[in-house]
Amino acid sequence: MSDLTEVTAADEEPAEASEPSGVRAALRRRLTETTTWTFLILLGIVAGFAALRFQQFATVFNFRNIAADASGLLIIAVGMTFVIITAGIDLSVGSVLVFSGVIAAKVMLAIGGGGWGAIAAGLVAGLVAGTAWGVVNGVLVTKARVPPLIVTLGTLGMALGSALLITGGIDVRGVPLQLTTTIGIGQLAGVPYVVIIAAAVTAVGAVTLSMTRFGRYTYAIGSNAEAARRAGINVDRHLIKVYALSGFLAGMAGMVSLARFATTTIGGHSTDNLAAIAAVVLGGTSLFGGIGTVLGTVVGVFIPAILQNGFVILGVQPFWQQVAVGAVLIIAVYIDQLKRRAQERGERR
Amino acid sequence: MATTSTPARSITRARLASVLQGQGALVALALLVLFGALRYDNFLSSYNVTSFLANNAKFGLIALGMTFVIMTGGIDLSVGAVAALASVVAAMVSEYGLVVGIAVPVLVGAVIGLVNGSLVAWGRLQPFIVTLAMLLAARGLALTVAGNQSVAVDFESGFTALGTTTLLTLAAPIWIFAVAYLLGVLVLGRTPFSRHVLAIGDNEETARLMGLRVERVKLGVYALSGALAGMAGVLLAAQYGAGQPAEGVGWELTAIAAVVVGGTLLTGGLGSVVGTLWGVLLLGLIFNVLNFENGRGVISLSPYWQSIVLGGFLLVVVLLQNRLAARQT
Repeated sequence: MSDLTEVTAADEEPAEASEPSGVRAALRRRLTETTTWTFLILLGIVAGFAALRFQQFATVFNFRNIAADASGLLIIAVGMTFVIITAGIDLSVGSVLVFSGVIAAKVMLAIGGGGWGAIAAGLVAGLVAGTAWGVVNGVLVTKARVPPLIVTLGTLGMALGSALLITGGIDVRGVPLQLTTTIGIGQLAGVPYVVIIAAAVTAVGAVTLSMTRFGRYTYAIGSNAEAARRAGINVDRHLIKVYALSGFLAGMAGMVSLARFATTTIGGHSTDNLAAIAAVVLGGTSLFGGIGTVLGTVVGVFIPAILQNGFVILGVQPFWQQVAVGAVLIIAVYIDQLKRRAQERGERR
Repeated sequence: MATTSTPARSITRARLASVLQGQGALVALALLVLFGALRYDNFLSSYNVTSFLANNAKFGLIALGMTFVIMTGGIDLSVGAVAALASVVAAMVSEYGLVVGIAVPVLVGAVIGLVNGSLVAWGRLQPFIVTLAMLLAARGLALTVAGNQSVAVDFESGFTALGTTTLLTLAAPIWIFAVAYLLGVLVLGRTPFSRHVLAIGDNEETARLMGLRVERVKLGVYALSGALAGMAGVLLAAQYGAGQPAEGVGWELTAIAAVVVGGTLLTGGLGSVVGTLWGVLLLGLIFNVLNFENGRGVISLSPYWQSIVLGGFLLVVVLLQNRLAARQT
């Protein structure tokens, strides 16, 4: 069926005559990867802002702020990377974040006292709440065979609605002060704790995806779920774990948000899901599944973050950031597409 | 099961499945209306009915465009942001009168839709990514153009007539809502366009081999979705008396929910405009009924239940569709 279109497509451009060897080949392969492209774009953006406003932009203080602001989204996007590599999607992350924050804050207030005991109980409750939503997503996707887009759209509504219901629509205040002063704004050797948490999540996520059986299963299911099943992978169980991971990380992002702002942010996360998906795709992960890296996602998270920051420093309307990110998204995916088509032609010959 | 079921039973079941697939939303809507009418005074009062319809006109328009997009197997995530941008544009040009105030924002929406369509059809990019990028871009443009605040409509011009004029006791947005769906049904039922849309959604390669101009149809579908989102933005500006750059967050997801509840398959190839209409009314009515329930004051049901009910309902409907479709085959 597809052969008919490929015949015409293959005539347009001759494929690579022969495989170049050695370092140049490795370099060439690197250069055609989407992640490399987007990483170069990121470097270009950083260099551009540094050239224009070195004094304000290229400071430790500023980078610390950018990293701290991006920490929540990065944590969510790591989970989203796993989900998208399985060819799934999770629209519920922003709502789950809010829900987890609300549960954690309520538990902390209910225990009271403001000690570390209350804080720990609240954090555990928040993480469990996030994971629970993830399990619900995973079970509905695998056992009920509802498309992930619909499942997570449904749980998006339910998680946010539940959070609103529990709080009456008013943000919960009065979480123990220690949470904010330590995890929220505290630093270790000049690095904010929230950045350390996000970096740790990213590192663990990257290792898990690239070096463990869990990661291999994730890729295998995304490439071909049926083949993975026949190879003896328990696909349903693995998918439930992946969605649970996404829910857990959304919960963790909720804890980070709670610690930073000392309050739940019910109204502030309605676009987190799409921001995370955009970051993941920008990082070279394919929505068709089977392809993607956590490091790419890191690049994808920081392009919007740095653009936003740089535009504010330059005095440009910060909302141009969204326009720019939209354009970069299209360009990155288009280059990826061209590359993949060229590759297919190459394989065919 | 195969050994016990007689042909007659399986036919009944297949018929039941197809009824639920196509008309499940209508059945639920009828039950909910009946429930409301019996339980609450003034539920069927002309005030409630007209304000309900006028408020849901925006979602109706967006869901209508979304129906055609989803029938081709695509998706349009940009509609909420496009509506916000269009509402800002409408407010800015409102001083030139009603015709300009409608035409320019709708044109802006259509142009954005054409860009979406071109990237999907000729760029061969995934609709999800293209329209996600356009969501970001349109939202950024709306906020930039409006300077991050709402833009007042010129009340001296004829533009405000859109919010105030009534024809046969029905407000203008309701007429627009009704005419749009009437045209949608006629287009879907009586023209080759709809068959082309469904053929592409069913199997794009086959459609191409049959000689359909796949690219052109896709372009048309996304342009239509953009234009309808633009019109929704016009209604938004007229009803609020201002362009709202931050409005419309999540509208795309509500529209997708309405389309799916109305029986259109997310994978494309099967769908119904009328079903979407029932879907839009049903989702809106859940909110309306919750409001009435609160009005009785017996039990206090927070309006926040809306998104819980909505999300749960969406899952139940799709689950039922899946079950029945699985039995059918």
